[in-house]
Amino acid sequence: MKRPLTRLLVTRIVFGLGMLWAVSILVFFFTQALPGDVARQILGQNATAEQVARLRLELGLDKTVVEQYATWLWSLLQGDLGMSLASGTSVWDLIRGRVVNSLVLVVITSLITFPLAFYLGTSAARRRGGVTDAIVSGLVLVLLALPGFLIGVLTVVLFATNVFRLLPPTSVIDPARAALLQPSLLVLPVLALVLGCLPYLTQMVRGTMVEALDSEYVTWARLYGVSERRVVWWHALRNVAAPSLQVATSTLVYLVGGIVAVETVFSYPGMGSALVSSVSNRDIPVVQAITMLIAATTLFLYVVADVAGILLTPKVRTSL
Amino acid sequence: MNDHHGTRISGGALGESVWARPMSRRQFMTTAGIVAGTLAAGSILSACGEDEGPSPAPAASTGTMVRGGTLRVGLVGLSTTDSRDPAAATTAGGYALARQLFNSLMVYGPDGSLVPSLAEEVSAVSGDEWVVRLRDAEWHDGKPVTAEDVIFTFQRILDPDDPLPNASAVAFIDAGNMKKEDDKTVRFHLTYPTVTFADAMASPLQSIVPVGFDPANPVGSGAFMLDQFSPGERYTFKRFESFWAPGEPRVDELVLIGFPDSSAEVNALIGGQVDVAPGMDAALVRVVEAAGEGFVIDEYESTATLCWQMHCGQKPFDNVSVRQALRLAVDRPGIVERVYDGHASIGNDLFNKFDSGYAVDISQRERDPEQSLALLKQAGYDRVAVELTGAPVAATANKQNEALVSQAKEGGFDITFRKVDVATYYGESYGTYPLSLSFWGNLSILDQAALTVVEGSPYNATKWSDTEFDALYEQALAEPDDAKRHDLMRQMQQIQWERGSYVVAQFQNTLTGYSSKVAGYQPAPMGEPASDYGFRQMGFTS
Repeated sequence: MKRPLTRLLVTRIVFGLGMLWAVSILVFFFTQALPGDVARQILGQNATAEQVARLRLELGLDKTVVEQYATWLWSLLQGDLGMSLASGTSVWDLIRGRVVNSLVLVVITSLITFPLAFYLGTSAARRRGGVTDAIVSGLVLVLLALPGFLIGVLTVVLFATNVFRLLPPTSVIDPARAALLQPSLLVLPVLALVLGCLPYLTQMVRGTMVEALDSEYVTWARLYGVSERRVVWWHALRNVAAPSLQVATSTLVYLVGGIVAVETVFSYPGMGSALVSSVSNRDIPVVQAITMLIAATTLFLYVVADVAGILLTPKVRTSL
Repeated sequence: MNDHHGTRISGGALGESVWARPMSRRQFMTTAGIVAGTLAAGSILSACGEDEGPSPAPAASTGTMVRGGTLRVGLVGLSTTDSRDPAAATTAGGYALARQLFNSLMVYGPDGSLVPSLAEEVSAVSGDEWVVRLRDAEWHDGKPVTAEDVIFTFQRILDPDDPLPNASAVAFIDAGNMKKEDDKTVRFHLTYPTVTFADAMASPLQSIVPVGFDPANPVGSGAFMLDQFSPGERYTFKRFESFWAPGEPRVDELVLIGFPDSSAEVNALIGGQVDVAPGMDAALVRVVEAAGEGFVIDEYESTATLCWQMHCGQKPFDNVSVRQALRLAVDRPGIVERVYDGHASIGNDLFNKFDSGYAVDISQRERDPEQSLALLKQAGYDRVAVELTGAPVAATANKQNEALVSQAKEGGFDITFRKVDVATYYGESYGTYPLSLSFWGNLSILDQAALTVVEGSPYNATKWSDTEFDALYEQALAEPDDAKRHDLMRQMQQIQWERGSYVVAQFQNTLTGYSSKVAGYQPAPMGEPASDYGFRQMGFTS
């Protein structure tokens, strides 16, 4: 079993890297195709044509796109994300703090969402048709219908400005201190994110749990006199794990790539808002770096989930 | 090529980073009835006593001000491109930094008139010879501000090998011919007579920097010293104890916090995260009012305008009748009410109604769809179909464009509104749109002309050209006598009213929300937004 597993890992990783390379081509050429002149952007509108031409030369904008791509990819492979055109500092210096900030949101949100979704989904499944199920399913439906940014706005209206003034309405993290040390600023964005990704996962857990509880092995376990708690949390949950993992991964991917809206609503200095501002700045290296980072994280998560999913499914695992 | 930036001729353009929303913040304020004009050569502008820097603030708001505290100001659109080099500032954040850390020789006071700042006196010997005398002031490192610093500042900007982006704004200065008279006095010789010399010196871009200036460690003469610099997010400042204006700054610390849009900024104000929210969108006034007591909204009229540009180099606006028809098809009061919720004033297709040379006697254009249709017929059109290109260069831009589409129908215009993003709007195609909406403001009438319509102007997006107008402009720029110059300017404006290429339907008001614990906020009718970023005058009441 050892060898097929290694082979599986290697193929998935090679596939992941291949995808990443394909993404790099898309990212590079699409960002290059954005309209607007970067050099003029940097110098402002009073700059003379000579100043613009000189800067274009310095930035290597006079070379062909393919040459520029080769240079960019080579630096990227060496871990060099390049220089920000807008600020003149290294891209990594510029986004490092923001990557950490976004990570803080993602981790806290995951730590809350996953257990909560499993708990809610399982509870609803156990008392199918009951009050808990009705409440959970109802909430899930409502939340599913609301777009992420609207949930953000609603939490602000409810908890920060119009109804109650309990929490700060914007999350302008003081860059001089770590985000984790400013917990009151994290509450609302985390709440908005949790409310945004909870319903998918809860629904998934409920669905698969319902299926599992209806299955023959659960019936047999019950007939053998196994306690209901053990039936649910041991026998059934193990079979829910694999399919849920896929949804959990999608949730994580949504979190990593899709927190743009929430970060914007709360003015949270994360990767998403950096992406938005660098697009409007036409700060191409920053756009490229962030999209590559998001793509790499996404592919990594999918590869891990893929492999873990196989390992968690006995039928597939033993057929390797 | 870009006309969006509402700056004087001495002002630089804003970077695109701040165009999208911050533009709406760069509202150039003017108080009704105040006139601020170009300076006549021969006139003398001198400091009137010790306390001219901060002008007397409204008594009610300063009565109980105490010294100390940390003032937190929200600014929309702080950007990673914000520069600590005042001469390289292209963004609202860069301008705001410049105003805290440095001083320009002149500023526009709260009544809209030009007053000395780091200068004690700026006077014209003749149109092309000006003398600047400095006040007693210190740099943040304790050295005195001297004539050498002034000479260094402009030589640095005008360096022939590597001119700074704002060099074109002071192109009239002969960099090799600035003479130090004594430690505090510099004599400028201009390459051509320029009555607007002193006006140009009021821009934050023309802030005086010390000899050997290093932007990474910005030593200035301003009321605040830079403490922490997190580009695009937050700038913190500490008070400069030896600042030249007595009693200023009023607070010990200043924090500028960036927000992506006005509504987040206003939320932060209501939630107590900032004390001042400058440049609010008109639509948010009600939000602040609904938040109850504890907040003040300050409003004053400005010279900022989102105005339509009609391209004279192509059909249909190559025909003056079609241009006049569109001007008649616009419902100006309707725009003020529906787009700006009443927080704007009506325009008359002329710029800067607060310029002392503004032609108040030209009659106000009113909506007249029938006349518009008649003019179109005269130009050989039944109806005109035209594409309008617009971007959210200010918060109200799309709304204003949509208003035009519906208003102009009755006057015979079938307008298709093409929405693009801001960077695209100001990209390669800028200056080719038959009809577009751009942002202008805070420019004197002569500067506005120099930038947009005079022969060789850098941002002539409408390709308008008029030799009669150009001749009048040349005369006005060199005319030291106020009355004579105003007469020339009156003729220029008459031409623009009759055959110009802009539809100036309204001027937006400048709106600032702040906590009622804060005092000292003053209008800066001709200055930069947010009271010319004059946070040194603001403080807390006990």
